[in-house]
Amino acid sequence: MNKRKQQKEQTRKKIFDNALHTYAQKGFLNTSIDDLTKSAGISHGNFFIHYAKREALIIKAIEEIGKSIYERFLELASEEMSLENILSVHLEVIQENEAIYYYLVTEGPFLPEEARRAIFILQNGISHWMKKAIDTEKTKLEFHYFFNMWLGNLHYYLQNRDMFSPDKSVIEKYRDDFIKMFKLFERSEKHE
Amino acid sequence: MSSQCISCGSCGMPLIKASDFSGGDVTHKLCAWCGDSEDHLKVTMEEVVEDCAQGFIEKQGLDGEAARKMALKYVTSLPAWKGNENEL
Ligand SMILES: [Zn+2]
Repeated sequence: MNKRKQQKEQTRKKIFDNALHTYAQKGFLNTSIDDLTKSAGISHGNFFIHYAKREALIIKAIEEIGKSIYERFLELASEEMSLENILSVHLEVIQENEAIYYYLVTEGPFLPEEARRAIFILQNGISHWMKKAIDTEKTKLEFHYFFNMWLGNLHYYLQNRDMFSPDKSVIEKYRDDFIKMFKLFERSEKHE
Repeated sequence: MSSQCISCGSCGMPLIKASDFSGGDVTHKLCAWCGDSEDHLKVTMEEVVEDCAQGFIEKQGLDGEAARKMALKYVTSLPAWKGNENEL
């Protein structure tokens, strides 16, 4: 890589890293180009060389967040895990990214289509692992209800974190109860 | 990040164990369902989109038409089918 190209790469990375930080504080939709150029210490013109639109950076950021959450999940999860352990791994990776995940959940439906798709694909990956550990025979309900119920519950607590847990991580506060509630659906052969 | 965190270039399935890869070869880019022992595609794009849409319906409860649309967009963002969005 020549020097100019290297410099360009560096600026791009700086914009991106700073943007992730700003998104986690202010959300994707409330972050202006001004916020982004200020935090990266660059001019508007320079910003647009790297990202043609504000949306392009949001999409790229969410794709990266989705990928990195799922990769972290894959590091910790294994196919033989009990439902309790899968759920626990899921909560752990969300908690590690709680500040920015909060905005995926609260702003999700208003984000550009590509960004929404990246979030959907992340959830699809997680659902694949949960499916192996849930006993749908026992309850006579299709699997997707359980998955959506799990996400719906988790997301509801996150969306209203100021009411449920104003002074600490809402996941930290409720993780044991969330898991206890869902353990009811565990495959019996996985009980030890 | 672990070097094992790769996914199939055709359907996006995570490739974790050797048996997940085409031909059981961890240097391959495709999963055992999408690729033959030489890592050449043995499925059509239509088959991959259909399989992917079925997964979205079963695992996340999507409406059939919405699942198919989502699957088409997703599959054509993967390396094996990139840019083929209008081919179905
Ligand atoms: Zn595949």
